[in-house]
Amino acid sequence: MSFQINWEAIEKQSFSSYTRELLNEALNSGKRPNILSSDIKIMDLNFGHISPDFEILEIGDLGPDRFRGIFKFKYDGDASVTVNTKVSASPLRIYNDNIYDDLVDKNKGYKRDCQQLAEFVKPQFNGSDSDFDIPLNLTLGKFKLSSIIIIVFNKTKGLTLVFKNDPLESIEVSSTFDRIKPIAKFLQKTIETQISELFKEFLPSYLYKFSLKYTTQSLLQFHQDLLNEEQDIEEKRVLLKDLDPEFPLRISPGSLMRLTRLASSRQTLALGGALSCDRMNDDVVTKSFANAILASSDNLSWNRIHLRNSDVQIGSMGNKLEIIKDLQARSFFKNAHDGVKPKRRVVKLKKQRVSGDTSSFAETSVESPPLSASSPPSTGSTLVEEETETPPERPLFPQPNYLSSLQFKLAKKTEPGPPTAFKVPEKPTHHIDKLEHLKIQSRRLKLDKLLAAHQPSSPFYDSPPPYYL
Amino acid sequence: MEYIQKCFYSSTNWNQYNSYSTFLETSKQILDFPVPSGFNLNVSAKNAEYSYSSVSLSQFGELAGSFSYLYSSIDLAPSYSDSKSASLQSIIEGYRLLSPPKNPTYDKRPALLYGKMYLPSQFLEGMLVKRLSENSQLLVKFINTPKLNKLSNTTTIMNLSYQRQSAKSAQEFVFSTNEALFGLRYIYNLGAPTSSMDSSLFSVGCELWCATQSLAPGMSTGIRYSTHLTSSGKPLTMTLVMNPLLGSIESTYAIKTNILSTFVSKYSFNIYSYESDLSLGCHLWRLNASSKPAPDYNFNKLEEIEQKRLVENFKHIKPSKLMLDNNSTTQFVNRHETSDFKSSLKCSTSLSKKQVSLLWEGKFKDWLLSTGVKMDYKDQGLRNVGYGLDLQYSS
Repeated sequence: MSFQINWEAIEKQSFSSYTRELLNEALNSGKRPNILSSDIKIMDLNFGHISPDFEILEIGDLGPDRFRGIFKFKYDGDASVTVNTKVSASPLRIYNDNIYDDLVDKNKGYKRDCQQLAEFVKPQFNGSDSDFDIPLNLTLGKFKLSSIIIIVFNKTKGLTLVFKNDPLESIEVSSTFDRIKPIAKFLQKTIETQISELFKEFLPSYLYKFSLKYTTQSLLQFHQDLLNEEQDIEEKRVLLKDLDPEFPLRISPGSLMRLTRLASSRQTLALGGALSCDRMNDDVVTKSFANAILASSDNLSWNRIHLRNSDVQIGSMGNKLEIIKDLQARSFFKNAHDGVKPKRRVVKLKKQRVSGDTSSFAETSVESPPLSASSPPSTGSTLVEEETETPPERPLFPQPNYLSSLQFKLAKKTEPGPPTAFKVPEKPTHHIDKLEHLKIQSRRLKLDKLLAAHQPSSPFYDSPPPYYL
Repeated sequence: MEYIQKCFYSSTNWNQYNSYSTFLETSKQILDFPVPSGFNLNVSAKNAEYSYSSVSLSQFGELAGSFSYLYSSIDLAPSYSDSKSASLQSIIEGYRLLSPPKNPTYDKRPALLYGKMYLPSQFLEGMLVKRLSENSQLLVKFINTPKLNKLSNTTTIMNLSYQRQSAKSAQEFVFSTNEALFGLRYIYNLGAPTSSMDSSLFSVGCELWCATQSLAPGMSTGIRYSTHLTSSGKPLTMTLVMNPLLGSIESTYAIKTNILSTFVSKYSFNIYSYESDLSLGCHLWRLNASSKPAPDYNFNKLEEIEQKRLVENFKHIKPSKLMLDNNSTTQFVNRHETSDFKSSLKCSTSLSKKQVSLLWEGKFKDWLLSTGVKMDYKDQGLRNVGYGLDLQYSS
């Protein structure tokens, strides 16, 4: 196993400016020490041309979302960084500030009291503590690093990087004060300790934080993308505004109420799904869907459901609306006219192997809510039940409401006769677009299972229903 | 605390302003005044003849409070007054009218003790002022923070300062336990002692500091000239402070243009780095609506009888008496002291810091209110840095 790190690639302008930003942020995060009177600015950042050496010592854990490894890391290159800042050279000002900082350091949480105490005890300097800032340019170069590093990466927990030993072997520091030997020496020493501190504590913690930010961000982004994608697939929503651009809210409260009801009637309390309506929840075979399939089949006999390819291939999502409308209109009618509460059907599917049976169809038991006999046209009884209860003398097409209630509505409007006088449309116009094709297939399978499961129980049929796709 | 300390000094004839530590008092009070932050409530009372206590509550993020006690070995009644009767100019620091320095005279050796406990942090601060001799006193300040849990550590800092003053000069020796800081302040009044009629004062001063633990040195020298305009009696103060170590020069000019307003400007410049800054500030007073200041005498507007009386008086005037009684300077000072002020407004800004501070102080019923705001206009648009309200009551 090997890694390939393209060292030249990080020489790019975008990366270097990105790193510069990152470093600027990192250097100026937290509280600025008193001796610095301005922010630290990165003037120049150069990664050099010599790449560091990595040697894999051990890989402990490897997976798509986690990684743990031990590396040997060696660097002896020509990278350099120049920073610019201002150093306050007023010793008594620093003295004053240190009183406060010292108090805050020792008593965290009482900043205000510390401030008052510091004000109280400060010697009142007159002009001795005036500002005096010296600009300082500092160039760090000729890094010599070598260390053993342990990298642990986990998609949820982020990246952890640990240096086994002090990685800094030597560093060259050159600054504005190079000519003044004592200061130059002091700087060299301070920076060496600071940098080893940086590698030991700051860098791991910052990397960790950064990786956390990255992983959580990417996850969010991932979700966002998914959502966007889904929205692209969905049809454009029709807004009230589009209906009547001039008076977007010219809709009566009554209609609004009805609309809300329509919307809520689509929802079920089914577990495991977000908003489950017949389109969204694959596991529920709604009656309307079954009705749609039945209605679209050529002959409406129970044991034969024929669907032609054109039924599923041609058409658009828009026609599916009618199915939904069916269901909703029915539930509305139920409530409004018969005083019967709209009830949801519960279909429990128990998969059991019927021993000794040649057909391996799962047996299905079907429960339906109590029916109210007073309202034959609107009482919902499951399709399957209907089928099992139906005596053979009955007409092939039983009247209950698995006929689309849109038709029922139409019938009511046009010919106010008994609801039993439904006309079956010759050519149902349920067109389902390609995207829905698969779903429909799976649903139809379920439906067939349902039908088939009841096949042996009813003596009327002697063979499993043939179906075609 | 500061008010009582001031009362203590004034009743023991100690000239607080004859010291290098208060050399730049006027410009500090008008340019670098502190702005209250959060909400603070302070109720103080004179418990007994010699003791005072005060309770304060402050709300800034979290609720905190403090108790403080003061004990004075002498009765401060002549100079102390409660918040109902105290005049604003005795409480609010503004333009410092410098009186000619005199040799301090006081035959007793009074002491002032002060202690304050912060809650819930349990920090302690304390002060002791003890007059050692007629012309010297000792000032001790200390703070202590307790070790309440593992995170906190105790800090104890003690400041000792021995002050000596005479009409001619004043010295102060300071030692602080924090980084073992030694300091010396010295002020010399040229031409002093002067007669009471001459109100101008020319002083030279310097200070030297050295923190022996961190080897941090510091020093500054300064000159100050304070006088009154002879025509109108308006006081003005000029100072020039130099720091030869860091090469900074600060000059201030403060003038009280009339009883109701003071203007201060400060220019600082560094000869090594060429950095400069200009600060401007003003301090405005408002009089109570009922008491307008006595209008300037305008001879022609007076009644005929009064004119005659004035002319008659004029004939018998003695020049020496005029110098004492009718001096424009003393008139101005008297008018300032007797005016009944209602509120004051301080405003200051600095060009390099790019900050504006506003502070309003006034009386409402018997309460002393002060509220202020500090704004930052560094990067386009004002940004609030701090604001607050202080309520004080004392009886």
